[in-house]
Amino acid sequence: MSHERIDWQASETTPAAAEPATPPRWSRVVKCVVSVWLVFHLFALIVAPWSVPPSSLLSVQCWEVCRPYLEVLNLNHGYHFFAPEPGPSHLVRYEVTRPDGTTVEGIVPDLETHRPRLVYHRHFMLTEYLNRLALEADEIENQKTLNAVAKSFADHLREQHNGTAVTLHLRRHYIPSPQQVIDKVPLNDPSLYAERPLGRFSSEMSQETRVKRQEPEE
Amino acid sequence: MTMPESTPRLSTIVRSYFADSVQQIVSGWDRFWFTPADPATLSMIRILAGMMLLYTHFIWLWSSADFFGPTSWMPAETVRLVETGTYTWSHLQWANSPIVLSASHVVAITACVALTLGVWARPAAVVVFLLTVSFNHRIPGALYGLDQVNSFLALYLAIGPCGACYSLDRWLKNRFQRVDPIAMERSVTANLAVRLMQIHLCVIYLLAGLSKLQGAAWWDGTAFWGGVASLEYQSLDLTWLATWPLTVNLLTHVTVLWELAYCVLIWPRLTRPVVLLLAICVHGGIALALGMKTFGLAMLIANVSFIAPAFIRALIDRRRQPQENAASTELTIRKPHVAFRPAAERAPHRRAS
Repeated sequence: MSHERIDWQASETTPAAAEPATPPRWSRVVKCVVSVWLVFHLFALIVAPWSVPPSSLLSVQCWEVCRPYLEVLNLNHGYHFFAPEPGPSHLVRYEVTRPDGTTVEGIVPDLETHRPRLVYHRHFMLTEYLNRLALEADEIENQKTLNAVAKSFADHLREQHNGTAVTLHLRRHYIPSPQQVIDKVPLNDPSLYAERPLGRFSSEMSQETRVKRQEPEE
Repeated sequence: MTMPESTPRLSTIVRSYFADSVQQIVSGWDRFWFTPADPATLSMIRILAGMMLLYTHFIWLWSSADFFGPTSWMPAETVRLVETGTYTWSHLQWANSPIVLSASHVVAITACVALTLGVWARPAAVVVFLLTVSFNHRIPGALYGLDQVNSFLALYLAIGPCGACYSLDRWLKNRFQRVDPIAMERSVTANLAVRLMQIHLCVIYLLAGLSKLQGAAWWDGTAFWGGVASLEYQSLDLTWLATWPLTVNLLTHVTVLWELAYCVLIWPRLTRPVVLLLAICVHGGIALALGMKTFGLAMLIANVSFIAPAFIRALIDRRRQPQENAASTELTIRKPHVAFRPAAERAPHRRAS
């Protein structure tokens, strides 16, 4: 019984009866040009996550060189999944006031309304994004960005619920310890939440309460 | 006193060492990137990634008003403010009329269907890549790992002949040009595309592992609990692990070690199946327990780049054997004289060595 030896290198091939003529190989010049691009591409791929803070001056300067390439091709990612460690989640709690004075309250993201799961996750990422902006809002420019994004969120909710004014709160949801879960503390226990106001936004004025940088109140 | 002729000089040894090293690096680089390869693996990734991209664009369409409309979560003018000074681009930032948006959805979904089925697969991959990036840049706050994987898979699919196998293009070629159905059209770009996916995955896992080393929870073994007990991620209740601290520790440490070791252990033939099996466990766990089915599946699709074309051929082409045998029988019946040709003529062609 003869054994056909399989080459397990992923992109190489096995000998086959139906193999056509020898495939064309590239010229030396083409290989050199492609190699230069490959070296730069691989360098850029490593630089993108390497330059995520905390980072060295060297990595940041390398990133500045690669930045146009990475951003144009949407390759500028940190790949810091659940790093440095899984932390609390961030949600947005809102109150929409309608013309008749009634209010609608809700949380973003919401498993009931944001379906299927991919839609829910995209909404979850939006609220996490708002939290990141809030943490960076110690400079005037960043404060402007936070205000603009918070106002956009408020405008969207006001339009969605036919309201006249929207109040936003950034809600932090802490992860319970194993001991708390053993002690029967539910994952949505009120003691695990902290909130900070993001502002009140009405259709008449862009924002009544300015967003201020502050840590959530326990 | 002269040295014996057989003993080389130290400078010769050093020079020879560097010359050999450079030669080995150059030939290794050439072999790694520029060896023509069977496009079976790339074609399989095309089908799987095409379906994932189709679903992603379908969800963009499903919630188009929420993410791209004039009163979306982040309207175009807000995104322009946020992205000031960056090189990101999106046609939807500048032409955000409902007609352009609707047309973009239609083109994106049509291109994803074409990519999945393998109709003009390579141009379709280019269109899918451009529209995927454009949609991503239009709503930067709503993105996560899935979008990162989608982008790079679409990019690399556009580089290689992703429609060379298991595609309508191939089927039509077989039907009208009488090409052998399982003939391999090996190409350098097929190898290049798969190699780029492999290296990109190695970078992702290595940096994901290194970034975790900054966190105390990945060292004290409690990080896994953080994922399990997060209500916003949770899709499967694993909080019973609270009473199994050593299991939580083990799962935490295995995750980090696997991520760090991936870029080394994925290459040897001996360890590759183990590393891929762990990939199924880790990403399957993320998909089932942390509610990120799409991200988990997308990472597994990217991991297909490490499956040998021979394995994929064995899995898919062998199932088509009876049909192909029937075809070859038909050929024999139509041309019985083939069997009576001189032995020398019937001998398989051999290439000159």
